[in-house]
Amino acid sequence: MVENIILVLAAVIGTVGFSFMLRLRKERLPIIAISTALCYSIYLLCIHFEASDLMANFVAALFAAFAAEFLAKFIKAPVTVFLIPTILPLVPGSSLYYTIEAFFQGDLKNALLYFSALGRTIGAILLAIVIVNTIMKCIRNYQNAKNHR
Amino acid sequence: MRTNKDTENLLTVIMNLGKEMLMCGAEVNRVEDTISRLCTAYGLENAEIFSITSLIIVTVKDDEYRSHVQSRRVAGYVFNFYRLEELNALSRTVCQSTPSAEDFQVMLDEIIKHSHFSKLLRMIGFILTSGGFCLLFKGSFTDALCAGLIAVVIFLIERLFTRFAINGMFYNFVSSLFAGVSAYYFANLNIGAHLDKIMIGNIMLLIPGLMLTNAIKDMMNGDTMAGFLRFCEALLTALAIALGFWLAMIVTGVLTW
Repeated sequence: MVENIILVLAAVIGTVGFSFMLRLRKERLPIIAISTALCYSIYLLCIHFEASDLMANFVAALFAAFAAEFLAKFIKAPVTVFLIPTILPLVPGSSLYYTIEAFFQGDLKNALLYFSALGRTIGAILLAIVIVNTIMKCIRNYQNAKNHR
Repeated sequence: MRTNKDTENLLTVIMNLGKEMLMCGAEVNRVEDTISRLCTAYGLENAEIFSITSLIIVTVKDDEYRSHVQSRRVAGYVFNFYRLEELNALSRTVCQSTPSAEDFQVMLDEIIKHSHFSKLLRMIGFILTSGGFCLLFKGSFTDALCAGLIAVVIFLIERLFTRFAINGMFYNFVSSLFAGVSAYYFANLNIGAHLDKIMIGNIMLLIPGLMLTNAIKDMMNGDTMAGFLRFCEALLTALAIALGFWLAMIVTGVLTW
């Protein structure tokens, strides 16, 4: 439990740092910290209930994307502003590192294993983003059509 | 009645705004959408807009069916979400109130002038990012400290490279090389415990996550070309990181010649 709390805290610290790197407005930091904490908690919860790493990433990314869309609608700012920081802790930096390491050490078998893990995780996250993006666009188009009738 | 010159001026300001948005890290689709809304708001119907990651071309027709064409070359990104938000808000207000081209340009300049970010905060950002993600990927506290120290130098490398306008790919290469070498010595001198964890923390600074997300979003919106260009950029960035680390492994003697 303590371990998981430290992980969530680490995710929030990393995200806040990355928000500074992206020159994000300081007023947005609290809300992004909260949504990141929730997003990573969902990921850990999925792992806890023995979901695969892939599924956990997908579910957490779905949450992050929905949160970003709603925040963007509520605060009237571009979705990217909320999406990129929130989703960052899910990005598989470790797989990238281990792929590179194994590849250059000539350990092609492990390199391939890590690379496929990298590809799958990134794929799952991007798929979640695309699904949410499409759903929100459908809703927007429907509302526009209704307003114009 | 709008004269030729007025239309050109108006188009110039609108495209300046589009260019700024693209440079701040907006996806191509959003830029095209914003320009099209602005053109409609000013009564320039049927604007034809084409944008990829490095170029924007807009053709509009004025009241007398004369075509006006302008293009903007977009080189180099400086991710600035604060400015992006402000620009987005500006385009909203302009669509509502349609001020004159001169006033619009003044408002735009004002935003560009005041939307800078403190350098100290950015450096703290570098430290927090690498330290935080080092902890997240199960590094120890000393590992996080080492990653934070290396991040300060990566920040300085970035400052140096943007000042001398050296390209982004080479920045990633040098940063990754430096991070690899120093992480090795930190681990060897028993200051940090795990070479891999320190390195992962620093890789998270360089990882092209925003580029990749924008690429996929653009492709899904039917902008295959723009998405593909950005996707290639993201891949090249990852390649630069890998090559930098490869050289670091050779320099430190982990790999033989």
